[in-house]
Amino acid sequence: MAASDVQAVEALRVKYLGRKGIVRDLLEDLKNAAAADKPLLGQAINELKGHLTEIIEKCKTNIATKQSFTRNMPDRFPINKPYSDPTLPGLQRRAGGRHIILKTLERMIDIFVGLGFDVAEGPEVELARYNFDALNTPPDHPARDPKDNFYIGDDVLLRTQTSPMQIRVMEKTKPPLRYIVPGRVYRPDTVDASHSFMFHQLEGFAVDRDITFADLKNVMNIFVREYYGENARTRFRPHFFPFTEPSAELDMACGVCSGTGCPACGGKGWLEICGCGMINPNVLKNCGIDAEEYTGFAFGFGIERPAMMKHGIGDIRLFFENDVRFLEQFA
Amino acid sequence: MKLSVEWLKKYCPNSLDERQTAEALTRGGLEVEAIDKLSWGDCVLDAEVTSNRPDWLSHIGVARELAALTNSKLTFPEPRPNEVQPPAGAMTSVKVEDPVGCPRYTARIISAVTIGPSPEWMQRALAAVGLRPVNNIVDITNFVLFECGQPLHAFDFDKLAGRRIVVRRAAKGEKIVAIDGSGHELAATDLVIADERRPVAVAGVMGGLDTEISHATKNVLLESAFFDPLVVRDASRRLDLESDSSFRFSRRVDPMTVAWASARAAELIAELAGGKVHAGLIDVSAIKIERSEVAVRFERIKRVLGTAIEPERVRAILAALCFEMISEDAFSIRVRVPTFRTDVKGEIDVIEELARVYGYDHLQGKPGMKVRAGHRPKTLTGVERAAAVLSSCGYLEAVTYSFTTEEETCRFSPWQGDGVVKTRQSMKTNENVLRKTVIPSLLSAYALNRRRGNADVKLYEFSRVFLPRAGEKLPNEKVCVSLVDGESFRSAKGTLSALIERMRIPGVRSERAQMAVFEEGTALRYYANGQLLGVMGALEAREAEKFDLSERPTAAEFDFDLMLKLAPDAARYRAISAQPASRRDLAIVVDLDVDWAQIEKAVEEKKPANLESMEFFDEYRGKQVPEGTKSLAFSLTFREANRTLSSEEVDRSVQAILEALQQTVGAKLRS
Repeated sequence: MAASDVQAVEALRVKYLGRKGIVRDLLEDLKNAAAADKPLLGQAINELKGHLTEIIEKCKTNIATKQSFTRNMPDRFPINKPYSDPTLPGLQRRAGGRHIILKTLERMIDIFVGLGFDVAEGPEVELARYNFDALNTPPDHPARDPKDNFYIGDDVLLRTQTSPMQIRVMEKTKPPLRYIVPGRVYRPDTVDASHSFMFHQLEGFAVDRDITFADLKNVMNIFVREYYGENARTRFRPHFFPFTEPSAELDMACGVCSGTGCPACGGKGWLEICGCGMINPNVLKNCGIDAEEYTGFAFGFGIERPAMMKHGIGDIRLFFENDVRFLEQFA
Repeated sequence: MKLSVEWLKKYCPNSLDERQTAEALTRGGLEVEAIDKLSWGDCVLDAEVTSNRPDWLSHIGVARELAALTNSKLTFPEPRPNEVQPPAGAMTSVKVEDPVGCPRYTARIISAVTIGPSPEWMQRALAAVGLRPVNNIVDITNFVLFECGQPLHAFDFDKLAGRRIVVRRAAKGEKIVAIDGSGHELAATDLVIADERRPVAVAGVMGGLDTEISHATKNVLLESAFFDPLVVRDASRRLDLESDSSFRFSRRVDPMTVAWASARAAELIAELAGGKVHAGLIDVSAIKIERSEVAVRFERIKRVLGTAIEPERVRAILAALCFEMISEDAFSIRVRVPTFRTDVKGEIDVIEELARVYGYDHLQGKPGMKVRAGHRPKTLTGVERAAAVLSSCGYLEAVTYSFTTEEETCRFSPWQGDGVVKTRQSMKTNENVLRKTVIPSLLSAYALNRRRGNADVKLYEFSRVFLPRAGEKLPNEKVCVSLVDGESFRSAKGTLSALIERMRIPGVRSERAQMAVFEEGTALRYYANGQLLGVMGALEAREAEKFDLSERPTAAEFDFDLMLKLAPDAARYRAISAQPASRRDLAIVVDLDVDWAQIEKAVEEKKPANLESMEFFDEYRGKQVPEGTKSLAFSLTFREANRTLSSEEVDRSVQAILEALQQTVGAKLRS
């Protein structure tokens, strides 16, 4: 029995199960049956009634489902129309997203917030006092050369690093301190595939009693493993920054050749990840912090290069062109 | 700096190959970036010398380091040239008129030299560090420079007028032609080496062509001096002249090496050019050798590095680095800093020395930082959440440069600020102004996308604009959210509304505005709390041309700092009714110049109690409405909080609204 709409089903129900329906007739006829046959016949009729009721219920359900389906999808998916084709592409929904640099920063910030660091942001136009002097860079230091900085006045310039915020924070807040500082920095440089005059950095520093070089190594190693993967191998090697002593650079073994040298890492075997070190006691003193009681460490990452390394982006200029076909790939 | 491995081994004999040497130096802090093999078997290490270690700018300097790092012996020659009469002091004189610029000047005379090529071993050594051989005398001065770090200069003695030297500042207008052929006009700040008549060298930077060693030279005056680093650096910068000499002088040479280098070069000249070294070193010196002393506490080593270093090891490392032991007790050790280590000033610097020779990777202390919760400030989380809203509307985030031209940024910027912030240097001509609006930068990015054939481009950026403040050194750095929408004006407006709504900023209103950069009649100004929140508009035709655009995208910029300030921290629940809503769709006909804002306002003012919301969905202009009019279609949703509305009640409310619209804007129901 098949019925294609509510009325047809109702007609059937009335015909078989209604007050004047066939089952009713059968039950009436039962009165005329032989006494011995009544029980069996009665049972058979009831079974029939049950069976018919079931079928009719099923028909009703199917119809209701079909109806509700087509009611809610009037023209979108015309199942019964001859041209419906589920292999057609879906409606175009172009999802947007964040810029890969900001996503990279978000990821790095996540890692450090997870290690107990607070986030602070500082001005891009900065006093030379904060960008150099307080960071133990004396007036005649080559880093202050006018050719290598975007000076605005004699003592005002675009910050070349996010480190000035260390000073601003330490002047206002006493230890214990644990901060990271993300932001744009500026250095005059001929623009090419690996250099830009504007780029992003993430600074970090921690000052407390009993912070040692071992803590610096530990935090750096945790970060490298979280960001680059469990199997990342690191090495610390001495370097020089005016505001840290001892200073170090953190390298990671090239993922391709594991340290022996190959084209992917330019033959060096190790890729520079960041600069870091113990905060020079002079810097702490300049901020009114007792360098006998407190020690601290600081580190600084560029963002563009790790992002380029992680995602195989060959040209730094792509970040600032903002071609949507580039942006989409990482959004 | 290029280093020859064979050359290094002359002073620090060891069994390491070039890779192991590079590794040892890198682990000690002198990073070797590349290793090149030369055709005659020697290897060249290309090392990055940090600015605090000028003592590494020579082979003996690096050999000294290598010896300390690898526990090898350091040996270098002790020059003792044979001397002849008459003494140098009888043949020439040196007058130092500026002892501040030149604290020490020494001179030797070597006569009867035969100019010729230098021997192969020396030519190879020079080639390894990237120098061309010139002649034996010049090569010797270069060789000694790269050997010990002391720059030398050889003059043709017979070409010096008056056969004597005067060290002084230049007089205004004096000129010199340098040995590289370049001509320079000197200033009173330039320190020069002069003879009786004229400058014969820019001190510490470059010698003059006139007095250079030529094939005809017979007698040599050999200069070895200590010049003030800043004087040399300033002259080098001003004249745009750099040399291996100026590089080292501006980083400060070791005053103790001056005499050694002179004797060494003289001995080599005698040996290789047949010259006769005249007795005595003419030495005009006002130099004070300061030997600083530093005490290092053993407990402090552990405090900073996290690992204790045993006193015997401390002694051994410092001795290998040429620190002289002065005294020691149970708690500390006192040492004298070598003259070539001007970077070591205090205890912490010595601790670094210990750490790097001990090996950073060998320091195995236990980390002790405490656990705590880190926090992101609202300024950061606010941006993240707002970016998520814009992303979900299909916009991609851009990062554009902060520089622009003054003219463009002032034309587009809606924000107050006295003047502009300018940098003295710029990467592109005229683009030395820090932007006061992000819109033009986004329009450039948009234009780039269009040139490449990308369609429906929608970009946003969170970035700072720089607004100078009168009387303050630093500008106000206002965080803005800006967007450019190539899809449509309503797309941009809808996105901004979604953002404002999601941030739940109360009391935002907008009104028509006039802005020259936006097409007439498309600009809007947004206000909240009585303050300017932002602007938007379709790009004006001539502006679009400037960006090479044939279409006119919509641009908007909002004050995100203000948005964050006004956005409530926590959302508060507003009851939602379980009662069914009644929706009526209406279309009204109004004059063309009637703004939707007027319709909204009229409905808002009438606002029947059971009106829940109103939503525009269509505008029609064309043949089906009378000329001079347009049709606006919108839906009204009615609901009572606690009971079902009857259709009569809804009818009454609709009627009231239609009457209000008729009265205020002359709206008629569309038939």
